[in-house]
Amino acid sequence: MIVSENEVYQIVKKSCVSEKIYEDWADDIGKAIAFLQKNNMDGCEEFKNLIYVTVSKDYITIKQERNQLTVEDLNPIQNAIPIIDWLISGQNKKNIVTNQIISPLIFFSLLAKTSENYGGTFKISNEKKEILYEINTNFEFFKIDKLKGYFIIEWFKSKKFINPNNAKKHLHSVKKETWEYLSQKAYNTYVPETTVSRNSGAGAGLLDND
Amino acid sequence: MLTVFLIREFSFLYVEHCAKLKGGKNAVTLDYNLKKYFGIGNSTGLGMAPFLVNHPALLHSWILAKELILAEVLNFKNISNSQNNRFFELLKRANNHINEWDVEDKIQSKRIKVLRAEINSLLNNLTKKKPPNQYPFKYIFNKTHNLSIESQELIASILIEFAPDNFNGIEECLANPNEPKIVGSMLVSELSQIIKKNYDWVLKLNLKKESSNTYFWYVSQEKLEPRLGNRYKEEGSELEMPFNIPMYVQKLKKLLDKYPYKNETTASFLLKNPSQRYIIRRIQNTSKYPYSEIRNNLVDKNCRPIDMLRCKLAFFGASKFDPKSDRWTRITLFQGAPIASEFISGNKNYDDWSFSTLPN
Repeated sequence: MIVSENEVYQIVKKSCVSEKIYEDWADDIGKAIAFLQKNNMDGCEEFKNLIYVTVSKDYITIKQERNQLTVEDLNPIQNAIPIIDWLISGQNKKNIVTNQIISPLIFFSLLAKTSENYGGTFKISNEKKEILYEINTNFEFFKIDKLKGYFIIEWFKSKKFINPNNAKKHLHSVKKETWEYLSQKAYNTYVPETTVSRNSGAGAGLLDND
Repeated sequence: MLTVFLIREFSFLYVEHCAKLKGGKNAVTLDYNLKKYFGIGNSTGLGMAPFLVNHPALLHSWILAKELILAEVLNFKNISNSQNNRFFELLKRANNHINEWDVEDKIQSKRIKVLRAEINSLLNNLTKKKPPNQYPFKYIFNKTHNLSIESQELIASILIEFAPDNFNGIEECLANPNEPKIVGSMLVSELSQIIKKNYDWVLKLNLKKESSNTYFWYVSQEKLEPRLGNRYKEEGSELEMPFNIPMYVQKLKKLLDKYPYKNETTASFLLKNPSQRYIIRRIQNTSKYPYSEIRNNLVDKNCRPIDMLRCKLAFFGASKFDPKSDRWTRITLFQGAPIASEFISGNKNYDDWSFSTLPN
């Protein structure tokens, strides 16, 4: 089924909130999934799988040593967002070392959206310092199931903002069952109306139907 | 807004079509002046308030545009005779308009009563004693300082009609495409300073009282629309929308005060306090936009969402504000607006339609 970018953003954001993910992270994750969807990737399915496999949604503490963060698992819904914030902050060159990137597609989308807002390019290299991925707002997404090994993530600041290439954008369709799953999650954030609330809503108590 | 305008236009055509079907040759079309007087009614509820909270930069842009024009107009050293005449024409029109504004709501009725008396008195005084030649608009505006907010805003609305030509296009500034960003490089000490400077009003609030945390905002299951519940009487407060801004600011302030590493960056602080990202991002972004934050506790027992709704609706050109409770209001859109045929009729004054009154 075809849904709009905004619908994807809203449903994912609400699904995150229902999973007790911080509201502000939910906002960024919603935008990242919508971005994937716009880049012809099934972001919704990826997100559904991520919340399914991530049993505990608790924040994973991060070890900080001067200009390096070390984290065993990098997970978009558990720790990736403050890590990205930290990576792009300040003047000093920083890096992140991790042994596993859970849901690389969503993580890369978070990086691409960050590049769109803050400029620069992210580079992910292995222990031999070979660059594996260069990610900015024009990153060509492709299906990656998991990334295990030793990864170093860095951000290369650029004063020049990269113009997003919108010409090729194609909105990916969403599987009906995935949409229903996320809608059910979102539904859990809604509250049954009380009579008091209903009676104070717009138009309440009027019979002239205007 | 275009859709609303088109619905209004369609309604005229529909009425005339029905009349023709029923009356045949005897049918007449709607009177031109009466047609123009018809607006579109709308009932608007709580959804408008969360919109303002969720779009602080946009709110800032709207208010800024208005304030910029007003500041420019108040600085007119002299005005021409035609500008002077135009001002009095608009003031008289506004005076007539508010005399036709009747509502059932007690609070608003009282405000309108005061407004009528004040505007009538201002009109009489300004007619008797003409404004000075130098800075006449500033003189008029200053005359409203001790009047009600309704009167002040009405005069401001008249004055911004005098926006000079170089302000044409300012409506483009009503948009704000900037995404809110985390400024991770900001030092913890700088963040504390911003709170002290921009959120001093929050720091003065006593949030320990039960009444300061009475309401919670939520999205209703039935209509998927924002609603306001009483957390002491209704279920669901665990699913509240994050609109308790004063409390978040106070909590953050406490954390920052206790935090020993004042020269660390906000990004480092967030690694240890990830839940604070929402309010930090908000504080950092609103610091660039002085009109962005609604300086009120939106969950307080005394909060009146209706005031927020009115603020937003005013920017859509809504008039005849008619509150039906403290949570929803009726309004009128496009009353007095041109009808579509006027755009091609050569009538150059078709867009002069503020403060419309019932035709004779």
